[in-house]
Amino acid sequence: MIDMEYVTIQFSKAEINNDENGLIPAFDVFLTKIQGDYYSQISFEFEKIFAEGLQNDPETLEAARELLIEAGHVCGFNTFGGIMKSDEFYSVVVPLIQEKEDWIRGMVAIINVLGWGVYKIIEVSEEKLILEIKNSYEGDAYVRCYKTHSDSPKCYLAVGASIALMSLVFHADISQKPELDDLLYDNLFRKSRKYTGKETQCIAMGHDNCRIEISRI
Amino acid sequence: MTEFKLDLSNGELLIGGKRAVLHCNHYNTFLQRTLVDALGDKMVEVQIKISQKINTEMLRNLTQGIEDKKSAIEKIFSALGLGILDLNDLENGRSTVSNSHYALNCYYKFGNQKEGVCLFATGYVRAAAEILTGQKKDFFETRCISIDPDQNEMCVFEVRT
Ligand SMILES: [Zn+2]
Ligand SMILES: [Zn+2]
Repeated sequence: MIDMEYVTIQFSKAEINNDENGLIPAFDVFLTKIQGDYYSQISFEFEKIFAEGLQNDPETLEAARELLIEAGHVCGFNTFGGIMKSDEFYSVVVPLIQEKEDWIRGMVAIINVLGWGVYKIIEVSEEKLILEIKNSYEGDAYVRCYKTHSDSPKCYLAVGASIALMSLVFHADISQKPELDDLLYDNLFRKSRKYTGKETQCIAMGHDNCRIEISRI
Repeated sequence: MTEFKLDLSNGELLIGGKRAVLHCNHYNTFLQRTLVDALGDKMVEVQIKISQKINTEMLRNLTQGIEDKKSAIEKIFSALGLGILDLNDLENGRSTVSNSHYALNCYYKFGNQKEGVCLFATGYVRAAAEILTGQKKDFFETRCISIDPDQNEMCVFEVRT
């Protein structure tokens, strides 16, 4: 099994800084280091306004949340996909991989340098991924901004990106370096979707940690 | 000063006492577009205002005790990966961004845009104005690379009177 701590430390040393154009090209994408509160607050405000317009109808709320989770698919698909195809991943992680689940372990170890909180794998197989997140930036933002607990989980990006991670490893077979294009995206998340997931505990609700469960449909 | 500190034990990337997170162009563009497509101009305003608020707080922390606040604020903009900000004309109610992250990615992903897409940058310019002039000024993006890169070499932000 991969030494996740080793991978985290190796990737934490990577210099991910802006170039002379004020941009941060890395892993075949352009990165930004915007405050987590920006993403979180625009998402929560969106959810609120969306629901208010339709008298807080539960189905409407669910539709708004689905949109935010889909943004997480886009994130995971492109960023994780780019990282797992990168030279850096091939030099640090791939030599340690013994089984398919190690792709998940390696990538989760790298998530821990993104500022998103501390992700810990509780269980992983092709059927299921259970993650426990300490200090998830979305849940943390909720509690700080609204100074209260929510009655539903708030880590939409974390759920969407985790579904994308399982889809990339066990559905798209990222080890074959597939093209990360619209066609593949459509297959993974629409046409022949294989994974779904939910957040079952969230610090925004007052739990100690967030817990995310991804399973095969 | 634009140093980010990575605290692995808490999973935090800190700048000016605030939590930054790494995200990519695809997510940034998609999220912004999703919110605006679903709710229209209301979400344009929300995103600008939230950017203004969180950036004012962060920039205030980062520029405390610094003499050349203007160039510090410009450098931080690039350190966030958003392009190159020029605040030299701020006093006259104008500032520009070259290589805007949001504008370039929106253009490449979705083609020519009808309106400026640099909502985060608009809020950032407002935050810069508040700190540098001591007054809140309602900057708006009046030209954006994403509308037509051949016409607009850079994004322009001006105070609407
Ligand atoms: Zn959560
Ligand atoms: Zn622009």
